[in-house]
Amino acid sequence: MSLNTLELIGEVVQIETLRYTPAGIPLLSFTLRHMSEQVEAGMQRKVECNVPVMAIGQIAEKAKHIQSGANLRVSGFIAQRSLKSTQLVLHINILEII
Amino acid sequence: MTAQSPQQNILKIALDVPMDRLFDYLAGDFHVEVGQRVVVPFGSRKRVGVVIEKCNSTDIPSGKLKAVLSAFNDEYPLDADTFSLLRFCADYYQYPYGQALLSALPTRLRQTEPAVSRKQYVYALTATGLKVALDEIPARQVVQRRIFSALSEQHECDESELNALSATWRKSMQLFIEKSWVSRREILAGLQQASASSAALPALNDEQVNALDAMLKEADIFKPWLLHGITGSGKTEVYMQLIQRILTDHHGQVLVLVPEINLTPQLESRFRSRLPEFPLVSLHSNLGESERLQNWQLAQSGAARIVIGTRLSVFTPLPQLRLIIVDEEHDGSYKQQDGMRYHARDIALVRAQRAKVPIVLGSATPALETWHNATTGRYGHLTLTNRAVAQSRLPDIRCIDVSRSEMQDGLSPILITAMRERLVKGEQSLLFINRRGYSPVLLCNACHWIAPCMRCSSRLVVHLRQGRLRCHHCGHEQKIVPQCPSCGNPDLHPTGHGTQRLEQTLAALMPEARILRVDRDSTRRKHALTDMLAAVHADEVDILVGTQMLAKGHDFPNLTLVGVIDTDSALFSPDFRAAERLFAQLMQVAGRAGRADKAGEVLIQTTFPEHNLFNALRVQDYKAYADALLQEREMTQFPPYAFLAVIKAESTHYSEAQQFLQQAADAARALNLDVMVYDPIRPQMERLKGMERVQLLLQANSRQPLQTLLRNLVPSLRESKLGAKIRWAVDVDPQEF
Repeated sequence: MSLNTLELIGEVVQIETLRYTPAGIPLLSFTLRHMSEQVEAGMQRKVECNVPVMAIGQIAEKAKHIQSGANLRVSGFIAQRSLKSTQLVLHINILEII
Repeated sequence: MTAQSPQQNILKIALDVPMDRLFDYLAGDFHVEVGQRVVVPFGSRKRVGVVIEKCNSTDIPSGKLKAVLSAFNDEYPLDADTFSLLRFCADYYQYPYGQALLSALPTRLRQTEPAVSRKQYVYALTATGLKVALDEIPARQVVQRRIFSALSEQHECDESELNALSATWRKSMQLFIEKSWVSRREILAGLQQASASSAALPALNDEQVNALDAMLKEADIFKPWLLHGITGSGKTEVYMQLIQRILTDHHGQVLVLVPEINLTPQLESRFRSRLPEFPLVSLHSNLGESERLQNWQLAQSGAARIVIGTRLSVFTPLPQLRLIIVDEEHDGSYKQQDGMRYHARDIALVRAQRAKVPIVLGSATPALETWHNATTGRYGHLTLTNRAVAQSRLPDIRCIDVSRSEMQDGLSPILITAMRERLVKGEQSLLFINRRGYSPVLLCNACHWIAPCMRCSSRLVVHLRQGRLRCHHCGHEQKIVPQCPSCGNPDLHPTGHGTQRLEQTLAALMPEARILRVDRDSTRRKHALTDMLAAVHADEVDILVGTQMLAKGHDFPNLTLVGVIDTDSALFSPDFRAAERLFAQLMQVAGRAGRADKAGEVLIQTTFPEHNLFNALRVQDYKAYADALLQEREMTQFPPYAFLAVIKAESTHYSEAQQFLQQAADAARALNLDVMVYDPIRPQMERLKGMERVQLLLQANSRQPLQTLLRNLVPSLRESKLGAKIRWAVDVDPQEF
């Protein structure tokens, strides 16, 4: 029941400034714009989505230099933004600039 | 030591032990006066006691009677007035007499060693010394030579001057004294006295003159006065001229009570410079033990004519008391919150009555009890409605509806604009927020966990720069947790605003402004507050961010804007006095704005701009609001229309405290007096410092049945086995519960 992995390629469209949690852990939020073609019901289709991404810890330090327009390959898990919001956020563990 | 007449050989002694009785001892060979301190054996320990009575009989079998170990014969004995005042307090507040009496003494007088404050001397050359030439001291003895030349030049040197000459001056001085070149004379450091100042008295306005005349007309009898003066109306000036007139006409002493230690140095220097002809001492818990003892003894001997002090000074023996002044009489800090839970204002009233002297209660927002007494004619009622500085006007007060404005980190655009305007004009602003720290809550958005104090029913406050979570109730402190202990989310949110966060927000909004935060954290260092206030006066600060520390008494002429942030929580408090306190506090804070010749503005951020309290505040109408609150109190039968006492119990086990108070409630009901006995309930703060708390409220229409009930009930509670296992206390006329 612990399967929760999402791999995604996309372009950085919006990036927040690096902030820190009260305990001093760096934290960076940005939005990835994903565009691809996928197969559904045996038919080709286009997929477009904006995915909110959050990087916490060392990976946030690594990501802080990326800029809008950069293409990234990321992998992580999804979680609800907060108890009150149903919006999902991709928390990443792996980040590659491509 | 003289021989005792046998019939006076038994001493009844008050000891600082939690038993409401006196203890019998044999005087032995000591010649002891009533009021003297003695050391006695008590169990396996030695204790200090005060002799209350000498008599010739005791219930204790003579073989078991122990003798006094030593007596402090060199000290002034305590006087009968002090005894009877503390006896009264002990009875009224249901506290053991011995503990009440001893806790009213300075610490040095509660120790088993003789109480000596460090003596200070001035040194001068003797006739022999004057004949000595400097050459007689070897040239190698630099320090000796330096001191000797100083003495021959200055005639007399005190210790601070000698300290400045050399750190090792005492050794050389000892040598001079042995040679009889130098003699020394003891001085009392606390007493600084100068000749009468020739400076003209500030002219009083008509209202001040009327107030002064009215009080002087009845200066020889017990008469309580309410001096109700708006902020900045010159109450202090009235006090000072009243003191001057009374002390000039009579040989007497004046007791001035002030609410906060922070305010004593300020008031003290004002009094010293205006009334230099009268020796003045201050008494508060920030004094060193030695100084406190000395000041206390100066008051006791009658040498100090003016005593300024916080609540503890209300018990100071003053043999020639002529007048008591209670400044800011509504202030909550007059109520002692542990030990004997006395109210210094109420005790001051009793004291004035016993000494048959007038007492002046001064305030801009009197306590409703006092207001009630003044409006029903029990107190003389004097009003100052004009600001003392003729040009200064009362500030313009407005509320900002925060639900309708776009807030920026807790600040509304109107407030930000107003601050920017002040910044451009070179005037100062004050933001008042009654919460220190960065934010009052650390919240996990993912699961809504909130950092709790494990020992109290409270939340831990975020102190971001220090990386700490602190409980402001019990002092518990820990590192900020790296992740939510409940769900593991590291992205925790400090929620809500405290002084530190406001300071940070302002720094980001107005980087050019010089911002100063004044709260208990930033003023922890000694003299920090004094330095900060000096910086404000020197115009080195543009924006002040502060807690209630800044609300009272301070007078900043260049301050023209006060912003009040987030006071709404007090509007919903279950405490029936919360509204009264909030009103008083906001009136005080508002009074900081525009005290000199510049007009002031006050902006209050609230969700309820139409609340009665703010309506009354806007027109600065204390009277209307007080009368409305009094009507409410009358309808709901709360003080001053009812008299309350609370028995508070706490224990590590809730059931013990609960059971104890249930027994107390049953016993109280069985007494069948005209007192409403409620059921034991949990207070708002259910747990404090790891203790489960329960309280029992007693309510009556007059003091008398309530006192009768307590007098009958409390001794049986002291006998209770359960009571011995838990902590409990009686709070008569409680301020908060």
